[in-house]
Amino acid sequence: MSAERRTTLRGLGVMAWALATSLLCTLLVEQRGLRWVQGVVWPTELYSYQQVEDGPVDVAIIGSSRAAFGLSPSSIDRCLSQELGRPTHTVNISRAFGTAYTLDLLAEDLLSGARRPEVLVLVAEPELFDEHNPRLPVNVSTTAGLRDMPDALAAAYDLSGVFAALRPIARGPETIALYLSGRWDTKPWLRWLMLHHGGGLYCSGGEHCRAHNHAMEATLEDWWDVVITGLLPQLDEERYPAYEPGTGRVHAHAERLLERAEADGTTVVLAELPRHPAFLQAIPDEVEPAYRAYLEQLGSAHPWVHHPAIDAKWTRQRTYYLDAEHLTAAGAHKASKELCTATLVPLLAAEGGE
Amino acid sequence: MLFNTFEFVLFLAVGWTVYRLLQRWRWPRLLWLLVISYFFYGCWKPWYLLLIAASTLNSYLFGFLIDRAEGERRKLWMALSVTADLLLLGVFKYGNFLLGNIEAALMLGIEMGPLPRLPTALPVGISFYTFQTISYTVDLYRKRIPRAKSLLEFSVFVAFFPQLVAGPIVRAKNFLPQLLAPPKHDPKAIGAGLFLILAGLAKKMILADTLYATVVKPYFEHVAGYNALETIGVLWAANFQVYCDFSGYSDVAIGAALLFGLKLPKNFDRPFWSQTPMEHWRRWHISLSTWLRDYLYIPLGGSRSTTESRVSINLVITFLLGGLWHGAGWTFVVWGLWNGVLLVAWRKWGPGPAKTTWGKAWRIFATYNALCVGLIFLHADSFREAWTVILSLGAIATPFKGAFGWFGLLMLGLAIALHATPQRWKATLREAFSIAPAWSLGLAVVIAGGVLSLFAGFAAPFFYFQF
Repeated sequence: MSAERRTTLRGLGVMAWALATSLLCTLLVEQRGLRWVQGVVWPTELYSYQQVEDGPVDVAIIGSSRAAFGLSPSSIDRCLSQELGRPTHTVNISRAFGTAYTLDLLAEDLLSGARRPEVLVLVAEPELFDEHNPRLPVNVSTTAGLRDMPDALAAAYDLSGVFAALRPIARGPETIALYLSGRWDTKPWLRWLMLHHGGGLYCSGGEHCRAHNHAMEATLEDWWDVVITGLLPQLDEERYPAYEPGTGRVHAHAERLLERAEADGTTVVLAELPRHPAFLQAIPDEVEPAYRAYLEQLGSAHPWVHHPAIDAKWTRQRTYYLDAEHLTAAGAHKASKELCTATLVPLLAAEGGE
Repeated sequence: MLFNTFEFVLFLAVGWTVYRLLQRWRWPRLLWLLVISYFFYGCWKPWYLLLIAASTLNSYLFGFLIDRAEGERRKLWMALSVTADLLLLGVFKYGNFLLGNIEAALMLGIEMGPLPRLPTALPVGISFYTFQTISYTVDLYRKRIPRAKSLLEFSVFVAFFPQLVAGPIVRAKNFLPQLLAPPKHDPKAIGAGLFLILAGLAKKMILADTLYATVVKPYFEHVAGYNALETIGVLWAANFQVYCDFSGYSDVAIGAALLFGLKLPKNFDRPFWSQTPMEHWRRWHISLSTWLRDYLYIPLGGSRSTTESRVSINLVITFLLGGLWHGAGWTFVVWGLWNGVLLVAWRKWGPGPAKTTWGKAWRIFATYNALCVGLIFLHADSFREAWTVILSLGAIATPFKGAFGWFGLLMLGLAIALHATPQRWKATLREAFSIAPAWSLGLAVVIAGGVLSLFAGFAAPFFYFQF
């Protein structure tokens, strides 16, 4: 055999073996249900949550980072148990960069069986339903499995979509390494929040929570300036390059999520959290009407309870905002309490009475 | 597209496979190399391609003119070509720096608003490929190389993706003949290339990024209140961080080129074993040091100047401009100045060659620490910050602030140990990779990918991209 042929075959051989080993690892990971052991883009406490015993869930919150910051399960539980006169269990499994695509997969895996919630709070925002959200590739790369690869490839509309679609090839080795090293455990505060305070990024009750909330806000104290000077001037480019709700995978997953909730007898609350006027002003004009029209279309096909954005009075208060779209602990407690009293208590009281 | 990403692995796999299919035909092979190199570069920002294409065209066309001309005209074309190259670099790299300084100077005398700034950030790699194109036209002018046979071949020389954004800076006389020659077929090069890629990524992701995230970055974010011992430790860590980052990048670049049958020059040769600053610069970023020597220091007169003071001036100018090449800021200029003055002082008053092991060890220690002091200006954002660090070097009585956790210490220890590893061990390992069966190399790639992903949380861009 010529040197030329041997060189080519050797290179192809290395690639074939690497590909086969990688795919085998991914298959193993999928087989073992280790989807939520991942540490690069998302925190890994979901795996801890997946491992704890199943138990009834009264309220489950899903959404993007705005929901992770904006609604505190321990705040909601305090309010609910006071109003209903019984202990309640609220969880928040929201993810940074979340879209309906991811939220459906999260809910399917983590809120099924004995964990089926009485009420599912879907924290809505325009980005959540946008097929062209630039963050969708991150969603795909962190959640797609081997079987999703052909569809994800077919649906990719740019290069980042292609790379994201192929990501499951590498997921196996990464996940196994994280799992074996115990690295999914390396953020103990997130695990603590998930297991003892139902997730969300703030908690309520006790000195530990106060210290945690304070530390969290202190770490992110420069976010306000970063968002005002860095993100808002180019918000249209960063978030809404071609805003298009109601199409593609994101829409399909939104439908799937709502259909499953309907089939399970879960009440869906479509909640909207306040955004600072500076953020609202930066959103391109065409986004809001398209978003509202889509919500109407979705709401006409699936029953939900609408919890609209809180009144304009407090949205001006800077102390409630970590940045123009995420809330501080004080903001989160206020938003949680308002959601609880205005929407969740009537719902759960009615369900308890039936 | 960074070397330490899944995207790059896919890119490399596809790029290599098609290259092997086209290898028998020179033009398709070169065209493919150009396509993937431009794709690689365009992934940062597509408009960067306009810059590199402009730089390529400029040097190629002037090269054509230089080749046909004689005497003064030849010199004129060379000067115009180099000026155009430097203008491109000047506008995009030093434009805002210059405007800022003009603004500051004007504001001293008159009341005025801020001057406008260029809206763009520094395009990655521009310092590297500009130096390559300059070396081509100057070498052509000096009649040391023949003119590139075609624009395609020359474009590949300028844009070849492994070395495009952070070197090694390749010379036309070494690289163009490789592009024209029939490709070398060496099955061993696959394993050797993979070894270099994996070793380079490990250096970068395990050592450089963790040292940066756990020691260097926290220190330079709040430089006040550290004691002398901590500051020295951090400077050591910073020196090893830059070394592991940049030499790691160079290893990946050399390894990737090797997969394509092309040889890039060695860029580092265990620089921290140097007994003098002169030796250090012969072993550190070799392709830049030799470039500065050949195209700046020697034309200035070099060491053959008539007086010692003239040699000293040549050295200081070379290092001053070398510092400015690293970044558009006065701290970089001072860093260059420090290194230039250090070299001059060492030439004049430094100890002679060591005769004992202890003597060698002392010289290595002294050289290393003297270079570490200069590093303060490379990392500090301002002179105020640099001054605080310098003052910390005298703060013996200050209590420890906690610059090092056990992890940072471990990583620094590992970096030092790796640097001290005998070269023959690395050669043995590389040889083992060269002859290892394909299945074991495939497995090594997957295991390394998994292990390296554990360190992805520390990820920082390659240090030399900013230059």
